[in-house]
Amino acid sequence: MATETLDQTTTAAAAAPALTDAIDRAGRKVAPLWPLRHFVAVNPYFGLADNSFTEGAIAMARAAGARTTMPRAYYAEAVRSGRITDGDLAEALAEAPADVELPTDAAGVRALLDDDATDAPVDPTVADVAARVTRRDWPRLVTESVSFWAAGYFDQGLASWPAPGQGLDPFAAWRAEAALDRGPEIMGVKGFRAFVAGLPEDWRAAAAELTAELAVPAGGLDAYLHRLAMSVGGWAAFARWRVWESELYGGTDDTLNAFVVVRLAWDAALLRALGAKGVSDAWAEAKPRLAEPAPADARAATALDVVLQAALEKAWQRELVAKFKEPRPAGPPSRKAIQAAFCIDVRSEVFRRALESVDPEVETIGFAGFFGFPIEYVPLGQTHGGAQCPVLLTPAYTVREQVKGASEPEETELLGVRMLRRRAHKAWKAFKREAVSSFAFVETIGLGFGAKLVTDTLGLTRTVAHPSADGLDKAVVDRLGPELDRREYGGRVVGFPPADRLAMAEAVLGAMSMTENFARLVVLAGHGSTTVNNPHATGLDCGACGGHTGEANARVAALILNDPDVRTGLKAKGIAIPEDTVFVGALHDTTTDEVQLYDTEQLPADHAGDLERLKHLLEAAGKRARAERAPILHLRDGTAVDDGVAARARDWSQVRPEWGLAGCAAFIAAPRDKSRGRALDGRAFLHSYEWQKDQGFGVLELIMTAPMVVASWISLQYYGSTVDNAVFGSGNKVLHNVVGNLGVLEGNAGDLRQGLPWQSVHDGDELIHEPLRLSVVIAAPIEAMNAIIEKHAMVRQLVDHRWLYLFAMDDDGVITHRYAGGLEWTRLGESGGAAAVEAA
Amino acid sequence: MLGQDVLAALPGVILLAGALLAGLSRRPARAVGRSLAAQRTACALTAALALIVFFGGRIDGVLFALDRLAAVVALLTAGISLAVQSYARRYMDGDAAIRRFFRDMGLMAGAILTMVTAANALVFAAGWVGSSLALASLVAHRRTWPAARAAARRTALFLGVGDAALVLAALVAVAAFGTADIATMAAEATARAGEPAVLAISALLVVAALAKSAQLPLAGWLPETMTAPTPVSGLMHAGFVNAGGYLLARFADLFVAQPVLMGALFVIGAATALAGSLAMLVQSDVKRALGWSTVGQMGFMVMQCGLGAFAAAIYHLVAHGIFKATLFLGAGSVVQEVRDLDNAPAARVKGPLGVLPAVGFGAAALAVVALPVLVAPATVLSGPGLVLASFALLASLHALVVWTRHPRGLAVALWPGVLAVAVGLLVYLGGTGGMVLLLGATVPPLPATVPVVYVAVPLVFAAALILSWTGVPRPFRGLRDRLYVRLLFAGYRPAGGGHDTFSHRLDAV
Repeated sequence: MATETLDQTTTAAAAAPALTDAIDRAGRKVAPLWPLRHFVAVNPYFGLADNSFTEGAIAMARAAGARTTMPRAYYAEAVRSGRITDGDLAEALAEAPADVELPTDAAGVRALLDDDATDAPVDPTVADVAARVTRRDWPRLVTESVSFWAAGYFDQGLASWPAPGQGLDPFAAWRAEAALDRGPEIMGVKGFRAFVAGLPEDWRAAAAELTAELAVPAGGLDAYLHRLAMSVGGWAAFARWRVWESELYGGTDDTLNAFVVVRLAWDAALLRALGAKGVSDAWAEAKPRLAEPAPADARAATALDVVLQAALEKAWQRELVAKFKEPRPAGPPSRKAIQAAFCIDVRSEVFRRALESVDPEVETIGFAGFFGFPIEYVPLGQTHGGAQCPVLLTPAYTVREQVKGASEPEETELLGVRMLRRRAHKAWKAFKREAVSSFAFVETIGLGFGAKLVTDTLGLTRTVAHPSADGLDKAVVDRLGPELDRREYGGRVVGFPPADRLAMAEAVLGAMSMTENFARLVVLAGHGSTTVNNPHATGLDCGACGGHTGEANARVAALILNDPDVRTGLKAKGIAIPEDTVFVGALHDTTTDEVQLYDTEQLPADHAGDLERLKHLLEAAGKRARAERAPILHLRDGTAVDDGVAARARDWSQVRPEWGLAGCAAFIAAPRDKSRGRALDGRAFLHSYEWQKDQGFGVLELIMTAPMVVASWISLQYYGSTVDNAVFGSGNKVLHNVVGNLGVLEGNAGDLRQGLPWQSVHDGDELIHEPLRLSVVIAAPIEAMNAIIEKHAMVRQLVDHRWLYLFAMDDDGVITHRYAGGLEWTRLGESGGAAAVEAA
Repeated sequence: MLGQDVLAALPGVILLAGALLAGLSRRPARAVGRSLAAQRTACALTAALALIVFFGGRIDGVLFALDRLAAVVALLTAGISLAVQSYARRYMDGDAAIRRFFRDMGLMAGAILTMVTAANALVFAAGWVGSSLALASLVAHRRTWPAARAAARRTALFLGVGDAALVLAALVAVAAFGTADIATMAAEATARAGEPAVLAISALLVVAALAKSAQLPLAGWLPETMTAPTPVSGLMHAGFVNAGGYLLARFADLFVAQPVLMGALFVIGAATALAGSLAMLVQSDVKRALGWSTVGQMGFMVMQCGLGAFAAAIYHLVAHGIFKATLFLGAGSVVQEVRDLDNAPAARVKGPLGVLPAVGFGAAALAVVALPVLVAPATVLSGPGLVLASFALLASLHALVVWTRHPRGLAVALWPGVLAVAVGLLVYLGGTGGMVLLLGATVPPLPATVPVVYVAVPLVFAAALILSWTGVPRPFRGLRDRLYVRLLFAGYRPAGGGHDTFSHRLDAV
């Protein structure tokens, strides 16, 4: 016996590199989770993109017990109501994988609509097996114990008494703490502390010992480790984010690997403690399943669910294609009075349509809301700031917030005031939260909170000042803005060198397909939301700005495009911006549909009239946009809509201040005149793109590798949070409990939650977000798109494995082709779907 | 007399009726509307009755009565309940069980008001038990969630201990005094203090108060109640857990004659105050931190009762209730709270104040500190007064240390800090003193002395405070980490049993 153990250990140690690789692979199947301070959308299936959608669904069912489609009844309803036609079903069946047993025709699918779906069974862990044998809820004990510890370990400043092991890697930190924790032993995990203390401190060595003890079948190791990671999936996702950040900046990070070993240790501890009670035998019996494929009936059932989901998407695509049925040849180019560029965000679609409907002399443009300027924006009084760019990028420039028009001494003075107020706040908080002073604090100040309770309830005060405005007077806040000058500040180089300004200006105009016919006023509008007391507030801000508002990026872009040297340089490069064209930075408030304009005092005097006109247009457009959104906000009374929307933005008890990107379903990259006036119901990302101006298709490549990917992340985040909120969503907002200043728990304990709250996709009566994979429509030559798909493995995985759909639009604005996989395209009209279009 | 009964009982009855109507409503919007209408009416009525009591006199019925003590706590309960339900109207919008939610919230507040306005021990017990049941139902608001059901069972079990003790106390009291009238019991308590039955009643009441106010060793249920929606926590921390303090004040005449029980209250309260506050420090999630903080605050309140400072305890109960309800309802804002940002470049810290203003500030500060001593020396310098004042002083000292800790802070911040602390002290003493005046004779006066050994408690707190400034010395760090782990998992025991491997899969969100 002793020899055998020794042998196993030796073998395991020798196999260590392979084991570390396996742990690393398992971790990479986990999608990262961004902290609440800059919460951005993530595709929960991110780590599985190299699988087909169906295989991904099966993998998630095995690892997390997750569903990747809606309940069968949801589709049955759509079939019976006629929304999904037999044509849709037949088409979806034709695209289904060949290696599973599926009905041969639509009638066959209809016959199975009332079957209960058979999900692939969840892969076993020792905790699961032990729960079955001993009839106690070990998985919950393990998840909650790991979660308690992880909350302290990853805490970003919520606890006053930080966890002792924060400086160590997760495994070493956990080992030190768990060796002191009597709780598991009281709960029946005998010898837990001694077991933990006996483990090596190094996670690699520990992993070798632990896997040897668990004797996981060779072919099942990957599945097992993935299963373990997903059993504490929220914290694993947060650890994955740390890895993501490190790697983005060129480093490496073991956080997630060491974290997975913590979960591995728990399984081994349970096996050791409960083995004699029959858990050993049960584990020996269960673990071979790890190395086996999912049962055929579960595979077939999952594949059928995916067919039904695909049919639903085809039904929606039919409606989309029909909206673009009328050909719209390009008209002669003309100069508009006002151009306004908005983020591609689906919320802009409503506002853009409203704005254009108010005045036909306005043209709107769609572009990623960071306007091509990946910056780190350093707030006044700090030396570091947030990365305001898509999370796939790193900031190329550091931009400092300044008080406009303030002399150096005045700014220093204001900074001093801000620091003093922050210090006072800190002392206040310490007074409030410390063990000893909190009693007297309550007696000194408690009654005063009565007034705050009343004003917070009435929406007159904010629970806490917004971080961008705290410690500053209103008049100063209004003067804040980005500083472009290149210089050193607080030990860092900030601002833009002149040469870079020109290069960036040229790049961004090219990427927006905006090289001629500039209007007198060109608005660049980023976006942000206004909500109070909402842990997920930054999730409603601009994803392209890394979970911040787009204000700084829009203002930087406008200031640079107004720079006379830049204009001269652009002219030399063939982009002639008329003398009388002025760029204006702006922020579209997606909660209230109000647009704030910035730096307008720098406008030439003869633009005053244009500015007035613009302000009126924005106001009128806001009113229309709010009216359009009113029904889903349950604001039915016509006159009260504006007030109702404003009240929501100030309401500390509002769990649905706005609907965010709920409903998003399409991404359209085409000239605006192809989609103008077409009611897309706030469901489409609209990217302006003219392939004729795109020499070498560099811009197309950018669109297909960045905005398209980000849009698919968003759509899949909404998708996952809708189809299985328990796994991919963050649950019920009324139970949310902010943990570590980085995420939320539901209630007391349990795993860290990821994704969107249920309230963000459901209004209590019905789903506001219809779960659909993104349908991407691009007006570009098919060969050009194929070249990009072929070049980028990531893009190819997305389109070939059906994580999104791709369509081609012709020069007349008609959607003509559907990507069929393997660089093949089908002309719409040759298949059943298009026939249905003709009929409709 | 009947009229007075009706008057005193009315706010509670309105809430209970509103709750039942809400529960019976067919449409959610109507349930919410009815419930809120009842809340508004009850709150306005309570305010009117409180004015009558403060400026007129006691409303005196047979089963229900309203004196100054009851009026203060009733006003707190009705006010917080209204604020919390106004919040819940939008917060809970779309919840599948919204009618049940408003029903239970109304029942909980109505039961508490019934208890507060009770003149009869049996009525008091009915309100007390009713509020426990309503809370347990709210903790399991999402019925399909195993964690919520487990937390509700736990809550019911711990509170059940206290509820049983209270019911038993009421029954023994009826047997011993021949009446369940609280005023009669109070009047006779001192004379009959030596009787075993009276001691037994008092001891049972203590057990009841300890369970309701989550005191050691019955504290563990409270931080586990976060499976309830946020507004429940708001009401619970403001109107429910402090019922223990109200019970102690309401039956104070029974306790003051029992030095052993008073000593026990002081010790348990102090221990809970320390343990709860330390457990708060290690929590990384906002709601559990607030929950443990409440445990500590309730410990302080019970400790005040143990000192015989019932008016101070009621003041603490009110101030804490308002404070904690606001914090719970605003708990979603914690992410946006400002963090330490002392790394700012080029911030010019203002130089020290001139000598003259400094002296002026100093003089003003000293005057403010000295004032209470001059105005009410007997109170401030009495034994219990000194114990309580020492907490205020420790807190002031701590605030000052934190405020001036910055490398350049002392020069800048010393005098404003001293002034702020002095003003704080004044508010503190003024508030407590005000409550003493407001409650008048409805609670026993502050005793003149307490055992000298009580000074050990402020000393222990002082030691903890000093450790928080200096850090724990190296040889004791192992001990510190052990304590950390104990505190982190304090009160956490997942319910075993139920084989539910993928319990989360069964959740209806």
